[in-house]
Amino acid sequence: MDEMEELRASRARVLEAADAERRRTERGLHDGVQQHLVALAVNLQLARQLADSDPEALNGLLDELTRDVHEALESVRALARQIYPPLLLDRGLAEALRSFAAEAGARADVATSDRVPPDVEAAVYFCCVELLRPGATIRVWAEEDALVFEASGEPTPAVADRVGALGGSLKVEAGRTTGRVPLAP
Amino acid sequence: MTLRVLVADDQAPFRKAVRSLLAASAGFELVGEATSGEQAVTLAEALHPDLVLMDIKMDGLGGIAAARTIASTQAGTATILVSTYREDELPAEARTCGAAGYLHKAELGAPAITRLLRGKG
Repeated sequence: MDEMEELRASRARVLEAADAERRRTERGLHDGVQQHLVALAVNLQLARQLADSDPEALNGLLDELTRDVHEALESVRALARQIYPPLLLDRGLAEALRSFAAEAGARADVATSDRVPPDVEAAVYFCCVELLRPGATIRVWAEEDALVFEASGEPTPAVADRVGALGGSLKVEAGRTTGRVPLAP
Repeated sequence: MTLRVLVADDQAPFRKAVRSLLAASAGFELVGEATSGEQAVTLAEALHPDLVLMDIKMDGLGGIAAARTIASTQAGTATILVSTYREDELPAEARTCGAAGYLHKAELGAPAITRLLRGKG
């Protein structure tokens, strides 16, 4: 495949990935927070009925409504984290990646806590998320002009596209992928 | 007279809310719960409910197709379609599938169901 063809294919994959992400987000909203809000709305209708007919039962229902609100909030939090982790935005790559790895039953060995441009942090974070498997370890370190990550396994097209979009490079050796994302284009 | 109701929705929080709502509403009895359009058709044939509260968006046989089947085979069963769509966003088939009407899920309550059935009756 020549360079132009590869560029076209990469652009098509990027668009496809963006659409897939939108569909996942729509599904997440529909199956998550929207369902909790619908249940809340129905239960509020019920609460109105009980306020007149059975105030004692209303107390139990209010407890349930409180739990529904917390579940709705948790759905929003989970979806927001999936779209763009607040930890990555607020605290940077090291904390966000360690947190993700811990929840995924893996390990993130991040040897830098310096903040770098947001697009570089995001690229390295989402590449690591894509590559990280339960029980595995991912390493990230800073070089003078780049952030580097290393994980076992082959890179997916999404990883190649993200690294490529920022002018970075990938190397696969002995079943390990090393990605290098420059701090400036 | 008690209205015997079947609810069909693949979302557990909504089914649970309907369960609580109907249990506390005089004149309603929940007789069955389906989690797909196919199951709704099967249960409607077996239970002969007076009313099916049918979610539109379910995997497999969706709510509209299930409502159409029930309308053509169960003369004594009315179907009310429910979803979180606004009424003007509904697919055209929602109006022609034989359902008695449409309710936004957030507006579901005993008075709304009664009003809709009375209006269509």
